[in-house]
Amino acid sequence: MLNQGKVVFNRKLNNTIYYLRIKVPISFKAQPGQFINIKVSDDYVPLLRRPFSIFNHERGFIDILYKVVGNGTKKLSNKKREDILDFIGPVGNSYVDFFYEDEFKEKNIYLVAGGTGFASIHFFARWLLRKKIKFKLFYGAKNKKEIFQRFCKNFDVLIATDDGSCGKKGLITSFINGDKDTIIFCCGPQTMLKTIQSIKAYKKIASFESYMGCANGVCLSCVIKINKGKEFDYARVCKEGTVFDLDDVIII
Amino acid sequence: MTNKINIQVKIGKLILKNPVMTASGTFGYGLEFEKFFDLGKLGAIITKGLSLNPVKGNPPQRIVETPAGMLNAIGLQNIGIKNFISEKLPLLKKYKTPIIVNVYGRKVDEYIEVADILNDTDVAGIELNISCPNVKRGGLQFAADKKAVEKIINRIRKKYKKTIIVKLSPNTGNIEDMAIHCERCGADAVSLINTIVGMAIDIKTKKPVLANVFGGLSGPAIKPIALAAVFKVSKKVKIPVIGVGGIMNYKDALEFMMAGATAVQIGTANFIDPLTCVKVIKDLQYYLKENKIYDINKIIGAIKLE
Repeated sequence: MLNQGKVVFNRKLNNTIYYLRIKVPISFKAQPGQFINIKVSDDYVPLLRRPFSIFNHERGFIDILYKVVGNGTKKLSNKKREDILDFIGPVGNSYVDFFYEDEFKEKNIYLVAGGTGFASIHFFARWLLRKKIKFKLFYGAKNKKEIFQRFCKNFDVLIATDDGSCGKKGLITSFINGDKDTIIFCCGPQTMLKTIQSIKAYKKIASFESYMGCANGVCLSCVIKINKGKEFDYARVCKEGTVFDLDDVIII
Repeated sequence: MTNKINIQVKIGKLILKNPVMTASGTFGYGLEFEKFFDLGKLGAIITKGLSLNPVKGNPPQRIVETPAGMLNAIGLQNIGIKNFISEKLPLLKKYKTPIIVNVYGRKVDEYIEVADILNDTDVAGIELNISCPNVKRGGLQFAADKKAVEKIINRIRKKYKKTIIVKLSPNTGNIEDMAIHCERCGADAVSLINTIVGMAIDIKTKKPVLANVFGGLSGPAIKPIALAAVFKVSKKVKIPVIGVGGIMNYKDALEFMMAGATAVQIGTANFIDPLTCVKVIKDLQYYLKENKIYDINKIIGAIKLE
């Protein structure tokens, strides 16, 4: 769980988005939907670790795709090749835990990624590709700068941007026509997940993001609301998630 | 010549193998840390605050980071004392570490009821949380109410035979007065400080960042405040003072002990490095050896005032 890895590269893809590769022991294993919690600083600012979805993982390395939004990601963006990163993980459950191959055989698998939600969906897409399972990827973001087509080469993908600068113009969710044979796996902003809740599908599975303290199930910071009859319960994104049955989640 | 170094300390009737405990709310029910280290190494485990019945807690957003600290407004989400005893406690028994249950009630009777239930268990002690800033009823409302505190401690003391610690707040009233009051009422020790009330505002939306508006500030940012509280209180009371607030390493722990703390609790640091407690225990031993101090109790209150 407590791990260290050397930075292989930490490439700037555009103004705010970086592509980081960490070398890890061959014994390290992770599944799509899981994340790692990186110590980005050696002093007290920022104090807490920062959680990042795993963008890709193959024997001996982990890739992270991240956007610089504040202090923590800024510090991470300064890491150089050969720097040692201290991280905890992999943490959380996986899309794979919700993937029933036999049950899903005759169904249409849709993957929906919004913004940086693309990171974990990308890892899952590669998992499906390796298993030779057909799927369609719906990939939406604000504009062209936030779409990374270079990572979609092998996927059947439909792209949409808010301003139409890449792919179709409009919200990605407006291009999804679900039916009783559709299975959706998604990750992105809560507004996107909420829209997906109203799309018709056989099953909808979503990975959630949240503000985290410990990513170890103890601080209870990262909770989301889960249906429980007429009541609700709080579930920890870091422990019961990150992946949930979307119909179980109450998005406000 | 090899001299054995004593790192045992005493809190009430309770002997701790070392002075390092976990601070409530940062260590869950202990079991979440099994995968990181042997829990038997800890001086004591203090659980997440437990109430009579399960509590759902506050709506999210519950956490926000601030310079060298963090604000939390969890709202004491917990599984309830009965579930703790049936589900968690049996799994903790194999560790030879005292379990101290942090107890929280909405009203006076609830504290007493929880203490009654714990009287019949192997739990080594209770820490009364009368100072949580994140709940409307209970918590802080008691921190400044001497009569309520007296009722709680007196009535628990009558039946409860094991160690009673009272966790105090820097948020209301005079912490020294309250510590003296707790001692008079029969508490075995006081722990200080709980988190400090704070808030943060999102300037884009003009809304408070935390759904609860206010949260409890913890982490290195509050260490100087906690240290001053420990220093002041330990001069005024005879019962042991347990220092808590922003301890990140053995040097911080030493400061608290020099200020007068008999033991320390490590909180927020557990989130950042789950091994902090065991590192502090190891480093304290190393420090004592290097400085040829053969009993950790010699550090307690060792501050020099010229």
